[in-house]
Amino acid sequence: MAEKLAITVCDATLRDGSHAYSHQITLDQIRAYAAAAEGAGFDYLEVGHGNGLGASSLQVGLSKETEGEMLKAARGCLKKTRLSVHVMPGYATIQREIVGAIEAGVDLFRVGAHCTEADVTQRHIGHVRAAGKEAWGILMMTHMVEAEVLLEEAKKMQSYGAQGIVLMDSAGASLPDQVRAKVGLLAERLDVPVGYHAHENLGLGVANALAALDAGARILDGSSRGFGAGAGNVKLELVAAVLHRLGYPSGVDLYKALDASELAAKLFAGSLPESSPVSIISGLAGVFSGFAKPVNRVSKQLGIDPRDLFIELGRRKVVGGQEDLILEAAQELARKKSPATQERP
Amino acid sequence: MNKAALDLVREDAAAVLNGRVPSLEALKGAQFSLTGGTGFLGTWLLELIARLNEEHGFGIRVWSLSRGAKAFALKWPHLASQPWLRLVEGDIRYLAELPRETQYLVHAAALTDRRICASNPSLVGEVNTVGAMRVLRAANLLEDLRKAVFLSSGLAVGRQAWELQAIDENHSGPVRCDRAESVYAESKRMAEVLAQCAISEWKAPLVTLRPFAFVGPYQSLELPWAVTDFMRDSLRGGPIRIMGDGATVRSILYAADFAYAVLAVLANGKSLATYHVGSDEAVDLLSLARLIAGHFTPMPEIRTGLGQAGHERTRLVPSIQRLRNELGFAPRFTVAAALERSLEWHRMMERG
Repeated sequence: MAEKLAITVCDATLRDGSHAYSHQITLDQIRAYAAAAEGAGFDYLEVGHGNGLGASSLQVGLSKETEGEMLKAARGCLKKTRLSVHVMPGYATIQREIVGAIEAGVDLFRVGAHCTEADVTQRHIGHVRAAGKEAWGILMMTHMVEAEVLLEEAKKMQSYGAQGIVLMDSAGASLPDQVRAKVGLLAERLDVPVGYHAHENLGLGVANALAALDAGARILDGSSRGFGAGAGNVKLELVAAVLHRLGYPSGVDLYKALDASELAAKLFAGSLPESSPVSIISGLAGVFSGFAKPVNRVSKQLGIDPRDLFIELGRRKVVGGQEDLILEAAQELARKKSPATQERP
Repeated sequence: MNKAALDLVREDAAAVLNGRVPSLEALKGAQFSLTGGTGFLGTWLLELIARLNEEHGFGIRVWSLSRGAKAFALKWPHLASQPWLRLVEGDIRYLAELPRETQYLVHAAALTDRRICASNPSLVGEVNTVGAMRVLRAANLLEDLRKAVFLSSGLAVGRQAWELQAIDENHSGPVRCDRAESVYAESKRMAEVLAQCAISEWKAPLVTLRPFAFVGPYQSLELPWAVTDFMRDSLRGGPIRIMGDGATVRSILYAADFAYAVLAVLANGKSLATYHVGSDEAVDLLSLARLIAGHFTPMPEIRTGLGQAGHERTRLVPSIQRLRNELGFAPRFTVAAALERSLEWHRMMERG
């Protein structure tokens, strides 16, 4: 039997969890959790606004703390675990955000784009590499396209200098066979390591992470207690347990990973994600998990069923960054439901 | 460019010309036309011509067409200000004619950037094939054309089998035509075929050169090749990351040696012939990384095995026997020396 290759474990608790916490994570929470992540031996800890560098805004939510302060707080607690950030060109600019993040000591920039738009990552990846930092390419909403399309987009990122490619199941909509096919093709055809980022909308986080491992993934993302968007990410403590059980080498200390999950439960009590009718429907509709809070809020305001709104957003193939369409779609549903509420000239 | 960096370039240009100038006599007083002359290799060609003109009274004049002429003039004024050089901004796809006094032509314009190949492969196909066609048509109108060198690519001949030590000019390996990533190799292959058509139809005095891999001053470290990656990461403190086990084999020729080879072929190469130009000194990626890391204190860490499990070992090493036998070409810089000079130049440039 072939020797199992080491798996890189990325902790998204303090970034994806920002979605679940309305971007109100405090510096004290960051320091406390970062120390636990360091102790657990996770390879990378991602920190920042849920939508990444530069995303704090009225449109997608203002962060409680400034980016610089958050990164500084985490940096101060990390030695072996490397500090990473999520980067979405459009939110993050090179001069305004990336330069500052490099100065703040970020080790890895995970430059993301919608799964068919890798082209927009070229300058950001190029700049990060030229600065001597590590850059990965992140393809989001990967349930929306076939494996062959993902391969073409991933190859673009690789050609720009990405040193790893992670497929995100941003909507928690994927099934294990789909994950196996997509990760498998990339693992076969790319030079750089391939990773997977699972969400729990359909309760398949661990199954999908396992399918990714089977197909050759060398990077797995997760969040302690699933602290993340929508129904949450795959639970990092379960990822650690599964890696341990299957004998995959990693730098993770299982007990300390479990301790980190306990700490996350205390730090973010009341905001830990759980499966709900809305999160299940968002998974079925294939809509970005991070939309859950605004969808629920708008639905409440307009008196519509949030499940209908998710189905409508799914029909429109709305993707991350199109938050404006939530209100538009909701208003349309509200008008259909009650013609009397139609706007008058 | 600061004086120290410029001196290094001039020393190395002089080094590859040392003792060989008489063999280039045919080029004296000639009018050159150069496409893609502001790229990495084109710039080195201009450096050697500058040495020939300034130190050996060659009186070569150069008309250089490229899309980056203005940027080049700003970046490298020591070349751009030369009275013998005329820089022209233009796109090879729309070339209508070459200067009618052209005697020697070097067609180096091409899209080679791997990032463009991935993002916009059809553009690569268009520039590399339509560009070649336009140059050939323009060349056909020249009355005094003595020799034209078409730069192809070592990749045009398809994949080298792992067991094959080096590939010669007759090699023909597979190229997957069902993949967009093949566009660079396919476009260069098509350009070669078009050149052969010109030879057949109007007896073009044309030589095809297939370059392999290079390193040297003027090379952008932003290009994601192994050697540029390793150098850049080392200059930034490391680590050097190798996706596979480091067994993949390449060969790397110093840019000054390459530029001399082009001049040698222009002066003495057999029309209609095809030559491989590169280094026949094979080096695996792990050794390459160690050679580079050895220039730094502390030495940057070298990490291997970061890519996928089945990361494929590949080999790309040319046989340059034909160039050796017919033109007496031999690289003057070993791989180690080429890396040393390149790193020194980049450090000098960073110091400003």
